[in-house]
Amino acid sequence: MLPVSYFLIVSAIVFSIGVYGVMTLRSGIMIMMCVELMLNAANINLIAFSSHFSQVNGHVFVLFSIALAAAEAAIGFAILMSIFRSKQNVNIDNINVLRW
Amino acid sequence: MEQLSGKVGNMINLATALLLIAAFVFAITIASTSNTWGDAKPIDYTVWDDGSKDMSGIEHVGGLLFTKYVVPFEVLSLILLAALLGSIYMAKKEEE
Repeated sequence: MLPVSYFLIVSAIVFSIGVYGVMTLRSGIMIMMCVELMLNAANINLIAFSSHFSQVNGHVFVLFSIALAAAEAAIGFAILMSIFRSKQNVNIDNINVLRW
Repeated sequence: MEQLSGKVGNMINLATALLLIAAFVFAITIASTSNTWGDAKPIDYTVWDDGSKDMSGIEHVGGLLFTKYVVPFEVLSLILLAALLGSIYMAKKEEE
């Protein structure tokens, strides 16, 4: 059985990649992919500790987390489609108005 | 705030990001390897009818999902329904 620290290190690296992408990328789709990376880093942590302590509560939490990530992706892509209809691109830097 | 542009600014930003990531991963490494996180026990696996052992514990997950966490499970169905309706409403073609 691998020690928990290996999973935590992988999770930290994946989370860092996600944060870097959210802060630097400009395409809305790429930003949503990086948000998914951050959510999955949290899922790795939950699964690692759940398996380490021989409990399945973490598995259930991860199921909830995956379902919420799916809902978030659906809403996000709908918003991006709406933005693309009015602006003809999904560059987040151009979206600086809250109403028009 | 003044904004650095061009290749030099990008290099400085990348170096700062890599430095922060290295510090974060280093802190996680130190904190997690210096802790034993209690005693690890073998996972409580499920033995199916044909004698095969299931190390994933999927049966326990299902049991827990419908007993202890049944209320969040039902609330989650409402959240998924709301997300479905909202995304269809936002993504459908607008009438002109």
